[in-house]
Formats: sequence, C-alpha cells, structure tokens
Amino acid sequence: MKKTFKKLLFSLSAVLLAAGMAVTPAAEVYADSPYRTYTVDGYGYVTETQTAYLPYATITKVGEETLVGPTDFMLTDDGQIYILDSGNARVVVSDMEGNLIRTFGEGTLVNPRGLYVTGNGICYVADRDARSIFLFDGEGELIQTYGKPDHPLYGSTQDFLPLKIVVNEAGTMYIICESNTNGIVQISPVEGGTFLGYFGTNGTDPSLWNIVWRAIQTDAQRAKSQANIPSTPDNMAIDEKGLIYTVTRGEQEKTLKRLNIAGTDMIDGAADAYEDTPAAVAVGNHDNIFVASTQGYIYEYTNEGELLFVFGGSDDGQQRIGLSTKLEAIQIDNEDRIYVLDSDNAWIQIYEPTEFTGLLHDALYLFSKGRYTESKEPLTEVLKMNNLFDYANMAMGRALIQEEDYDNAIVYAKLAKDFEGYSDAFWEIRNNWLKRNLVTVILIVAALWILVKVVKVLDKKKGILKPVRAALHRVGEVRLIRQLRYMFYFMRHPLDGCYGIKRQERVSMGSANIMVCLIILFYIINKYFCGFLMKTVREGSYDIVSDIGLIVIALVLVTGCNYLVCTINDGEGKLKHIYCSFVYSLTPYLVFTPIIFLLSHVVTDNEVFFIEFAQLFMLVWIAVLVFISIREINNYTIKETVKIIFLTVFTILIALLLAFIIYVLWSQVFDFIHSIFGEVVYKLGN
Amino acid sequence: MAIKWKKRKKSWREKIALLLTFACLLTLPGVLSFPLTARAAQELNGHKQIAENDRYVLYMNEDYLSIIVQDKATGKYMESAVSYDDGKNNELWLGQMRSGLLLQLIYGTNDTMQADLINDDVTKEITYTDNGFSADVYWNDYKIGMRLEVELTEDGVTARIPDDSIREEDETYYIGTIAMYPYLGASYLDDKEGYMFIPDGNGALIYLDDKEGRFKSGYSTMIYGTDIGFIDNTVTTLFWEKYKMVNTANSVIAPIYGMAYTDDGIAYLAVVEDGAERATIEASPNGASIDYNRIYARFIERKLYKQPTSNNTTIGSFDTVETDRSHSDLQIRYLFLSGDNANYSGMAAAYRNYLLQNGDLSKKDTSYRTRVDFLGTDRESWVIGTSAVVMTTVDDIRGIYEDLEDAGVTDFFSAYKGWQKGGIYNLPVTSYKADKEIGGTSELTKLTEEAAAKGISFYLYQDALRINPTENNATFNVIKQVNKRKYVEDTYQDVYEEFNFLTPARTNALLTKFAESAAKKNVTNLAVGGVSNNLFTYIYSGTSYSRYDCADSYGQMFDALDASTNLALEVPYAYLWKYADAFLDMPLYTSSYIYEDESIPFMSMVLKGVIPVYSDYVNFEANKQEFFLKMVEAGTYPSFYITKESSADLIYTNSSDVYSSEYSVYRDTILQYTQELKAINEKVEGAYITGHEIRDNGITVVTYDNGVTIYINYSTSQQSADGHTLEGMSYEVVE
Repeated sequence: MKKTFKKLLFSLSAVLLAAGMAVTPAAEVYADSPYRTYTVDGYGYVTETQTAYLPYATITKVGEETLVGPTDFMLTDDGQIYILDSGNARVVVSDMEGNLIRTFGEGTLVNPRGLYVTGNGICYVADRDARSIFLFDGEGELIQTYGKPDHPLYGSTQDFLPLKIVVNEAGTMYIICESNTNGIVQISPVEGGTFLGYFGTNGTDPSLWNIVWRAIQTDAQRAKSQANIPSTPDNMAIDEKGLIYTVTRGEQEKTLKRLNIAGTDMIDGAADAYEDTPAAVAVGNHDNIFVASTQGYIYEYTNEGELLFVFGGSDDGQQRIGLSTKLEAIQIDNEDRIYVLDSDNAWIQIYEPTEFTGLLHDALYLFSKGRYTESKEPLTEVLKMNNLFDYANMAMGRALIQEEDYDNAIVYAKLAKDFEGYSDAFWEIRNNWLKRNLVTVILIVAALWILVKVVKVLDKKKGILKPVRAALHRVGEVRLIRQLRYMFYFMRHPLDGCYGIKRQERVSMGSANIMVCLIILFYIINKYFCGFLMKTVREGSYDIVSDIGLIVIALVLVTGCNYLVCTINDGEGKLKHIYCSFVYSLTPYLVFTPIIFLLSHVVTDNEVFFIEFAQLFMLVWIAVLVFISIREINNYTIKETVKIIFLTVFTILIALLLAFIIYVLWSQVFDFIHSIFGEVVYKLGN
Repeated sequence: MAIKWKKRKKSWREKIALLLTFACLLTLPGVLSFPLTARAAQELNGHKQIAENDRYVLYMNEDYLSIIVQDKATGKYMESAVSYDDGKNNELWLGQMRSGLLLQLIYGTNDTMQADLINDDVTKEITYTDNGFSADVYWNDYKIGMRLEVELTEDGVTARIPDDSIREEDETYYIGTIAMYPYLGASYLDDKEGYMFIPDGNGALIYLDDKEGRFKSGYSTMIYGTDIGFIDNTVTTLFWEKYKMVNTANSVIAPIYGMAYTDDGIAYLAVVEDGAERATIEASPNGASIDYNRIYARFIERKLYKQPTSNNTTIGSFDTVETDRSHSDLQIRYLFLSGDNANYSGMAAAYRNYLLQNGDLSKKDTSYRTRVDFLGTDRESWVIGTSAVVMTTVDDIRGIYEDLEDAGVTDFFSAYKGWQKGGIYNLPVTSYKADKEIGGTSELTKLTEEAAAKGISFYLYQDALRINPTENNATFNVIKQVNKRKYVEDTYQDVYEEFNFLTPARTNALLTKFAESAAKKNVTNLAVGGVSNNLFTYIYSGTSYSRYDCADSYGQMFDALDASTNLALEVPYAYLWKYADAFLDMPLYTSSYIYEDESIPFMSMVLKGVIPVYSDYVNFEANKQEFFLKMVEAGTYPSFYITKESSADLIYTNSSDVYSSEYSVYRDTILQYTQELKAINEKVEGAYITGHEIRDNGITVVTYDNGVTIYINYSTSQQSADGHTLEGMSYEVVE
C-alpha cells in the first residue's frame, strides 16, 4: 500500500484507501485555515484580510523513504522535487506526487546544507563539513567538486564552510559560507573554479549612538561587546534575470535585499514590514518575493518590497495543518503554490492561492506591466472582496490617475495612504479647479480690493468706520487683551519686549497661560486636522491627553530647570518673568501655525517646500527669541547665555533621569506591596 | 531506525491477519449453525455475560470492571479492555488500556499521576442488577472512592458515576480527572477498518488506518469550549507581539464522539449526558504514544492553576489546586449501531432521534431563508471620546428590502447588529433604545412591524456576555478567573482595547429586562451571541462558580426567555439547542488538525430539517465557490453581513475586520444564492439527511429521507457518479 503523498484534507474514504490507489492531484482545497492573513496599510499598520493561501497538501515521505532533518529543496521546471535529506546525507528526488525517482550523494556528502538545480538538471550541493561544492548530473553521478578558493583575496585564514548556493545562467556560483562575513562568495566555473570576489556584503550599523558608545567604552569593554562586523546572509534566491535575493537575520530593516549584478540593493529598506528571523527567500511568477521565517510565518512582497500578505504561524503542539515548527526553505511552483520545508517535522507543506489571491496576482501582473486600464477589472473584484486592501487601493488609484479620473483616484489614494498618488491626483484636481475658477477668483479679489478702497475713501471723508474703530479700541484696552496683544510687539522687538516683561509688568501669568492654552489648541488642530499630505499621525487615532501632557511637561521642565540654573548663576530673572518670556517667545508658533495649517490643505508634494520653509523660519525665530529672553531677563552676556543654555539642557536630562529612577524604585515598592497583599488575600481566602 | 521498526510491525500484522482469517473461517460454520442465544459460551475474552436484551449482550470482568458489548444479530462486539497486547506497553499503559476506570490524581503540583483498577490496591464491591452492575470502588492508597453503575439499555449501554458517591478522604490526593471505559472500542493499528468521529467544527473523522507513527499526539479538546476561567493570557504568542496569528480552534458544540468498525458493521455514538460541561474529548490515533486508536471522554473534577502574587506573573506566581471539586453526576450513554447504520450517517440519525426523544431538540420552522445581517453603527476615536460611524440606518434597511423585493426575493432572515444606543460595542444592552443615528427607537419598531408584515424574520442582535469598560462601569458584576483576577478579553483593536465578561446572573437580569422593554413594543425576536457559546468557571464576590453553575444559569435564562420571545442563537452549544429558533454561524469546516482524515457535516446532518441553520458570513470566505458547495452539501442557509455604506468607513473602528460588506457589491450575490439555494432546499424541506458519502473522485453524495439525492463535485474537473455527470465545482439535485 503506497500512501506517500497524502492529501490530508481531502483524503479518500476508508474503503478505497484499503484498496490502495494513486491519489488524484486535483485541486480540491477543503478547509478553513488555522491561521489568519494580514496585510499592512500605508502607515505600516497591520490589518486582517481574506485568507490568501490555504494548506493544500503535505509531503511527509518520498516513496518509502523517510526524511531526516532536511534543510533545503528545489522544484525544477520539469516537475521534480530535489530534497536535501541532510540527516541522511543524500539528495532525494521525487515527482510532484511524492513518488521516489532516485536518491544520490550517499557516501559523497558529509553534512550538506544547501542545494541548487540548474535548468539543465545539474545539481549543486553545498556541503559544510566536506568544505566543498559537489556537482551531480541528472542521473546523480558526481561530475565536479569545488573546494576552498586559493585566491589571495579570499583570505588564506578564511575557512570555507558552504551553507547555501545559487547558480546563475553562466554557471557562476554564489555561495553563502558560515562565519564568512565578507559577503557571498562568487566562484566562476572557469579553470576548475575561479574566485571572482565577494558579493552583496551586508553593512554594519554606524549609528551615532554606536559611535558615541564605542568611544566611551574601555578597550576591555569593547572587546567584550559584540563585534561590529556585518552579519552573513542566511539564505538567498536567484531569479530569471540573475538578480540575487538575500535574507539576513538581525539586519534591522534590511533583512530582505534584492541585489543586482553590481551588488546594489534595489529594495534598500523599502520592505516596510520586515521579519527578524528570516529563513529563506524565493521569487514568484510575478516577480513577487516570498520570505519564510523560522517561526513559520510566510510573507509575500511585491517586487518593490511592499508587503502583500503575511500568514502561517508556529505550531504550539496542536498539530494543525498550515502551521510549522521550523522552516528552512521555500519554493514557488508555476501555479503560484508555495512549498515550504519544515526541518523539525521533516515534511514539505504546500499552500495554494485562494480565488482572492489569484485575482490580486492578475491585477499586480497587469499593473506592473503598465496595463492600468486592464488591471482595473481584477482590482475591482479584489476590492469588492476586501475594501481595505491597501495595495489594491493604491493600484486602483494609480490606474485612475492614468485615466485622468482624479476625483475617484484621490479617494483610493487616501484610503491606501498612497501619498505620492494622492499628491499627483490632488495637483490635477487643484489645477482643474484653478482653470475653471481663475476668472471668478480674480473677479472676487478685484471686487474685494475695490470694496476696501471705497470703504477707506469713505472713511477718510465721512469717518464711517469710527464707531468700529472705537469699539475695537475699547476691547483692545481691556487689560488682558492688551497683555495678549503684547506678544506681537514682543515678537518683533524682543529686547524691548523683555524689558517690558521684566520692568513694566506688560504681561501677566494669566495672559501667558492663555497663550499656552492657545498653543496646545493650535498644536492639536494642526496635528489632527491638517492636510492629508502633511499628517504625521495615523488617520483615526487621537491621543489628546499625551499631547497636552507633553507640552505642559516640556514647558514646566524648561522653565523650572532654567530658573534653577539661573538662580545659582547670578541671574536676575524671577520665575514668573522667565515663564512669561518663554511663553511669549513661542509667539511665532501662534502666528505661523494657522498659515501652515491652511497651506497644508492646498499644497501637493511639489510645494511642500513652502511649508517646510515656514516651519524652519518659525523655529529659528523662536530660538532667537528664547536666546534673547534668557539673556535679557537675567542680564547675561552672550557667553553666559550659551553656558546657561547648556546647563539647562543638562539639568533637564538629570531631572528626567531622576524621575525615571524614582519611577522604577516606586514601581518596585508597589510591586512588593502588591505581592504581599496578593499572598495575604490568597492565604485568607483559603 | 524508524524504518526497521516499522517493518517488524508489518510482519506482525500480517501474522495476526492470517490468524484472524483462519479463526474466522473455523468459527464461521459454528456461528452460522447455532443461534447466538443458544450457545453455552457465556464467556468472551475473559469476560462473563451479565445481562442481555433483544439486541445486545453485556459481558463484564470483575477484576478490571471492563465490559464487552456484543451485537446479538451479528455476533460482533466492542470491548473496553484491549485484549491484544503488542508487547510494547508498560504496566501503566496496560492499566490504562484495560481498566474500566481511569483516574488522574493531583498530588502536590503534579496532576498526571495515574490511578486505575489494575496497578493499584483497590477494594471493589460489585452488586449485579437486572441489566448490569454497580461497583463500589475504593483506592486504599489514595483513600479515594466512587461507585460505577453500568446498565444495558435497548440501544446500548450507559455508564454512570453518581456525584454523591465520589469520596476524597485524604488531603494529599485529589481527583484530577475521571474516565469511564477509556478504551471502549479501541483498536490496534489498522486491525479494524473504520474511523473515530470527533466533534471538531462540524465534524471530522480519524481513520483506523496505520498512521506509521506520524502523529505525536491526538485530539484533546474541552466540550463546550475552553474555560476562560483558567486561561493565562500572557502565554499567547503574538505576531509582532501584537497580532493574533493563529485562529482559535473550533469549540466542541455537542458532547458526542463515536467509534465505528465499518467492516464489522458495529459502531457506537457516545453521548456525554451528565458532566459534559466539564469534560474533554480525547481521541488518539495509533502512534501517539502507543499503537492503539482510542477515543473517550475525560471528566475534570479539579484543576491546577497559576496563582499570581504580583503584577509580574512570571516571577510572582505559584501553582495551586482548586479548593473544591466540581459537582455533577457523570454519565455517558453509548448508542450502539449495527449493519448499515454503523457509520457516521447512522450516528447523526441516532443523535437526532435521541435529542428529539428527550426533548433536547424540537422541530422548528425550517423554511428557506437567506440571512442578511446589517451593521448599524460603530464608533471611531475622535479628539474627545468617540464619534459615530453610521453604516446602515433603518431607512437603508427598508430600502434594501424593497430593492430585493423588486428583484423577486422575500425570504429573509436578518439580525440587526449595532442598532443600540452607542453602537455595536456599547455593551451590555440594557433596554430597548435604538441609536438616534440609525433613526431612533420608534423608527426601528416600525421597521420591525413592516418586516413582520412582509414575512421577513427580523431579529435584534446583542452580545449578552461582554461589557465594555470604556463606555460602562465594569467594576461590579464582572467575572474573575479562578486566580481572583478580573477576566479581561483583548480585542486587538484600537478604539476599545478590552472587554470584560458579565456574570451569568447579571446577564440574566439585563437580558430579561431588555426583553421586557422590547416586548412592550412588540419586539420579540432576539438574536443573542456571547452567552450561547461560552461557559466558564468564575469567581464573583468571593464565591466560586463552576461551569455547571454557569450552564444552569444560562439554561434557566433561556428557558424563561423562550416562553415570550423567538431566539436566534450564535453557534449555540447543544444544551441550548432546544431554545434556538435559528442556529447562526454554523462552522462548515474543521480546525484542520493534521490527524483528521475527513471533514464531515455531522452537526448539519443532525440539525437539517429540525432547526434552520445559517452559515458563517459569505463575505469573508476567500474561496466563494467552494463555500457555496459546502452549503449545498450541509443544507445550511447562506449568511451575508451587509452595510449600506462602504466598509472602508469602518477602518478606524473596532469593526475594522469587516473589510467587505457594501450592499451594492453583494446585491447580485444575494439574489443568485437565494435563487439557487432556495430551489435546492425547497426540495428537501423538512426532510432529514439519511446518508452522506465521500467518493474518491471528489464527489460527495448526500441523501435525504424523502428520496432526494444531491451530488456535489468538489474537483475542478468533470466527474461522474451513479450515471450523473457533473462539471467541475458543481452540484446536481436528483429527485
């Protein structure tokens, strides 16, 4: 009874099983998935979506051969599966139904870890412990062996421990070696193996923090800390164009790379949802990239590195189909099925795309080929099934832009958080609006101008605005209003302004507090209701309490610390004066924010410059005001002022540290009390 | 290594098979020539005959208290003590395989200590009754005792342990779990042809073939869902530390399991009659520890739990045992089946009859309806508090009904979700007050009347279990887990991050009050979720309540509500089936356990023709065509989750997982599904499913008792069966 290729979900009835017959490889998927499928939106937020791939079948044995700790496998175009049965140090070749075709490599291989089969059926095996690359022909005969390159550039002390291998059409081998941090070893088949150099070296992390940290470490500490050497890629794949894809553990946001012939990363960190522990990578039929993580998660990216789906998961002993224990390798067949190799369970699990994924792939293919109008049909279907699928919304938006249907395009772009598409569509919409309304606008402006002129003339002659002016004057002379109005004076004449605060009591705590409230209000309005392109927070998320808290705490800290530092440095300023001058120094914020806010609703990416400039201008102005305030209020020299500013920053840091320490200590105490209480309650309860 | 071992096994099996064949050939003339009753042989595999009736003979062994049930008509039997020993089992395993009672004791913080009738010093007092026996058993070492009562009935056997007979007289040993006849019907490797039936999802089979050691463990799942009173939320592994990646496995909705020897023509369906609320179903295929296929129910009496003493659960916690054991009689009824009925179709029919006879199920109006649920409003965050996201107003629903009516369809069932003041997650619902954004209470009442006049079943949905601590005061009337910590359910959403659970008493009070206030406006159709499929151990104001208490409270509540209202229940557990006028969200799949060989629509086969069963929402199925065929096969009615506005509006709400629901997108699908499924279901109106068969070419055949047969082709290629040719992914109804 040969029951090798077991269709777990749609297996045969008991009676027929006993009779023993071959399993039909028909495509009846018959289950719900035990895992969820997620995608990310434009903000990098994870959202749930339809099941993208369903478990389809599992290969647990090949013929009567059991696998032990397999580490790599490969599908060939002629429908064979080469499995590297590492535990048995051999290669097992199977057909798609799980029937054994042949095994080879017994006796030759020692501890093989990687395998690659070329289009003409030559099988390359990377053997770690044999320190060699073995080449077998289609019949499994050993035809060639490559050992450690003897090229001086390779490094004579550098060991050769090959783990993974891919081969391009010219026969050039790309080899990942254990503990070789120089990069991927590139060997050409010419003259029995010519070392071509290293390829796709990972970078180190030259962050400011690392540099500072290493500078202050002692030599002994530096020796103990993790060496700042680049990590070796963990696995790789090669596509039809000869591009190499690598995955590397712990490479922060660059775990996935697509390297061209020159070794340049064409994704360059654009993969917005990365995996910490990738195990393998594969390239699909639409240039989409698949990454399997050791924990059993499977990712599908577009060729630009945008996450389409992530699904799967680790099996915590429940033994559910579709979950994995330790993934080692991943392959894609012509029908977009995903094959993953689980070395702990020694099986290959096959996933099949659902209707939804099929449609999405169609759309992606058309879209990437620039056939936008055609891509709209499958995209519409995809969006019917999932309104919130960001990538489809983005593609739909772009397609509509191509068709010059900007009004609809902008809706999709906004849903997808596709800022570029939104900007383009908005530019067109604005342009159209201007075209249509330019005359009207000019007419209105002209009419207004004339109206103002007429009123002015009339006022001059007959004083029609007199009562209005008088009223305004009366309001303006209310003390609080006068104090508030002082901010505009302060902003333009900071030296006199400070004098006014210090000597003439031109402002009060009340007016300063009102200004703080206004700042908070403006901050919140600008943060949550500014134009889509300028928004820094996710749509639909509000966190008012921490916004207010942040501003208040910052103000209290700066004022308090500055006051403390000034008092012991012969400063003349009183707390009230320091506080008021700081708040009044923020006046440019109150003046510029409304402008920025209004602008943010009408600019596109092309004019963002205006906003950025306004923001910079505002910040510089505030900085100057603060500097002058400190100097004037305390009657310092410039040098003293600089010193005071540094001291204040330092004091703030110390204060924060202190607060942190107190928090930690108190939480320990609370935890302790809580523990005692918990135990007492439990004991009393019994 | 593994291969060698397997080969030896095979040769063993061949020998056994040969011997068995020989034995059969030798005894066959004997069996044929003498009627069974006339035979003097009253011993069978070391068991003596103690009772018999028209259909069965009961044998029993006094040492093990093990039993054998023999079908008189065929002479085939099932034994509870495995008589064939493959020589690889140690004393403990042998004790488990043969003993009529199997206990797991809790000793300190060890809860895996085995006690059985073979390896331990046990005092037994056996009394024979008319139809069986009663045995007082006492473990002298552990000072634990109980009485086992076994009775032969017309349709099989019952085994029972009365609660008041259970004694624990030593403070050091507690009873963890009890199992009665754990190996009844167990078989060695592929000695028998057949399967075990497990109630996973809609139903699943594990074949009795040789699993070649592929599975390390088997199915072990609590009847009526996991007990959240014991769940430790901190141990869940999350994707990116935030997202739940692995779906929770399906809950067991009915307390049943089965074993069938299809070659012998003998099978049983076991119904856990008492104690089901706190029992697990254990099914292990061969290769999981030992080479025997076995299935049984295990009753939990006491359980260990982690008692945290500080906020940091990893450091400050210790293991401890429940102070009191749970109190309930324990009873399993084995319904035996023979001949043509000895299969899962027979089991489903037997269970349906059993439920109908005992009044645990009654026939309801099962006429075809398409379920079109609506989402009223949900909330999204705003600068201060939250703001309403209005998806479907009363007027919208009216419009949708009119539109569908114009297209010629009127058979609808609707549950309106998120109609209440404050939106779908303003829980609990305390009175009949609709959100003004959807049109207000009087408009809603009016719609209810209009729907009733049109013959539409219009239900108001509410989750009666959860309370939203952000919107309502959840200091009191919420449950605590056994470790005295308030139970918190994470939603993994942004607006409302967590919910608490109401105590059953509070749920009862609120739901009753709501029903009364709604009844005043003649609104009597209630769709209820949450409480219909949750049972838990909990602590409230210092008192512990068991799952039995919880089930009692809910049972009484629905009993009272049933008198005055129509109830549609969301995946109700079997003890509530009699109250349900509609069964919502029936799972059509299993939980995809790797050892499951077949997915069968068992629950649907039990309920088809008795109460209307509605599927999960079609919206979220990735393979629509296959799902459609699944509904045809199971006789379930389709469900849609519909909003007037685009579901994109829900993106910042807690309903952000509703990613596709807009009416204009689904209108045509609703019409098409209704047309097709109505045509099929009208032909089988009120009929029961009598047969279900999965053929090897991808065709499934379902037969009804009114003679209608439905062929479903799940393969993508053209297939034929019984002279009917079916295109790929299609179905055919034959009258």
